[in-house]
Amino acid sequence: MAEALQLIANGVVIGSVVAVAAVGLTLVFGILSLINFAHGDYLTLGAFVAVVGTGLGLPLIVAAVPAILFGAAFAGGLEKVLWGPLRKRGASTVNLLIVSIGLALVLRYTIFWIFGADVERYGPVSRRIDFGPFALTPQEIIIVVGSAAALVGVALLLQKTRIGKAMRALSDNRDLAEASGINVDRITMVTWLIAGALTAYGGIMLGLQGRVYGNMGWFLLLLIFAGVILGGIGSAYGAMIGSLLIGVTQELSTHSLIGLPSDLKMGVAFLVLIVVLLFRPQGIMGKKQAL
Amino acid sequence: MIPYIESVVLTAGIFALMAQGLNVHWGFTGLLNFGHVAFFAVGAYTMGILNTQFGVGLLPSFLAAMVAATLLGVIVALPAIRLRTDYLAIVTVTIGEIFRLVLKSGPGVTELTRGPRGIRGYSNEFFFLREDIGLGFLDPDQYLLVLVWATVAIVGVLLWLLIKSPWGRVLKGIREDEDAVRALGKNVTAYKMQSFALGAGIAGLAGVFFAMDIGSLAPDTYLPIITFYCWTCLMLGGAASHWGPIVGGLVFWGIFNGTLYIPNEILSGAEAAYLRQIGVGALIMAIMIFRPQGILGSKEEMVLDK
Repeated sequence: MAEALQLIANGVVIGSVVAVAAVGLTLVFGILSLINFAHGDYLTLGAFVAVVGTGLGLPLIVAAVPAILFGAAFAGGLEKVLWGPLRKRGASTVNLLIVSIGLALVLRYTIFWIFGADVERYGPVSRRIDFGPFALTPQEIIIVVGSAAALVGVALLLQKTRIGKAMRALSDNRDLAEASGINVDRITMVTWLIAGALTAYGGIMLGLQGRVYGNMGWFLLLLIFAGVILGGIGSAYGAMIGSLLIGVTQELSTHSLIGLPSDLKMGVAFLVLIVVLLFRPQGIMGKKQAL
Repeated sequence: MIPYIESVVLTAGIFALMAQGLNVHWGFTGLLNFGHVAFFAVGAYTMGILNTQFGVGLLPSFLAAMVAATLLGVIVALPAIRLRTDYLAIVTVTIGEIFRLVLKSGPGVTELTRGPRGIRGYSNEFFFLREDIGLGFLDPDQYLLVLVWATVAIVGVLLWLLIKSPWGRVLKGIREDEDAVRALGKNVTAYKMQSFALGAGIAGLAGVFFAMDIGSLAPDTYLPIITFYCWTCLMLGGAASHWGPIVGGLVFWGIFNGTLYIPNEILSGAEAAYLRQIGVGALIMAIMIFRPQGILGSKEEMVLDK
């Protein structure tokens, strides 16, 4: 039991990081139907911009600010020069998906080219603090609390603000939203800015867990995807639930009673995803009519 | 120059074959499959395991490799074809990854696959055979190259016949308008399964040739990037075109391997490797932006709105 609690705690830590990234991905998907394979590399980029800051001697909390702003600007800039023009030319979902695979390679290896293959750190990871049933490092506690704060922020934005309502309306039914006078281009840009900022923030959270390296976002991407579609594509709350489930499932699969090697844990998470989709092809919170 | 051309043509042949399988899925049926590398891997591993651990002869283990890949195609199709396109894309990638992870560290499975240590020694018989079939004058790479391209040609002709047959027309019908085909009383699910199985079997055979080329089997060879390379070959050449995978394979690997010859004074080894991947990414983007139907594809046959 003690082992299970510790694994669940670990799962919540990784699930929190995945959730922050997954909400950004799913917001964009809900509005643009873009499956962005470069999303993981947006995450890496955010983490590395923060490394530049900490390398200059700034504390991480200060270095995080320009990284998050950069993340937002980068995502918004790509919408301006790449995604927006492509959509206007009528590119199909699959066309855009393949463009994102190309973009992912360009981004990742540009990061490698600039920063090299070395592993960077924001600072030493401290010892675990014992909470009785489980123990976590201070960094892991910051990850969970920081991610939860960001997710609550997104929820408030979606529920309480005009812009959030417009985002939800657009995601629900694009034509109806457009007809009711919502400025689609503006909301699309705002969504990218929020997604970009969230993703950079998620990248910093991931880096805080220990290491910042060129493949970090790419390696997390499939877990992010799994969280998104387990929750139901386009649903921000679904993405949060799905990501936590994915995180906890993959950690619990290494429990000594189950006895699977930890190399397999991501495979177990994916398997759970496929089994859930067999029974609920639209995901946990996904809308049936969207099928 | 000759080694460069040989390496390009050999790898291009293997990927052309793999892309011919993907063309059945995507080009002709409109099925999005981003887990193609799994079929490639199952072909290679079936052959390798049967040959080295059970002493099965070359030809039977080749056939078994195709059968195993075909079966995996059916198994993957079962959950996959119920999903809409965006879910399908992601689920197929994860299936490919599950498969790789199981090959690497699945309990019980690693006794057969030897996990990350991999399998060697299956290719000797294959290369010795070239004396017996009168191709002794070729070196091993040339011999593999000839067999690969002969297979590409045979598969190409068979696919051409199949696709213009009534069966193939139903596949294209599914690609254009699934509901219309269903309304005509065709069992769309069954056709999709058959398409998945056929394309997977072809990829399995490509996987066997790939295994012969590299001489050893290791799980981490079969990363999702292999699937993306295969997609690039297909989209570059032109999906739904019979020559597409062939032209795409040659052009893609011509460029890719060409960057191996950039002198060290201009770019160091690691930088050249990064630059190569940046180039591949930029190429993928450029095709999709400027010529989404590929070099040979026609706009009319391009899959839209999937």
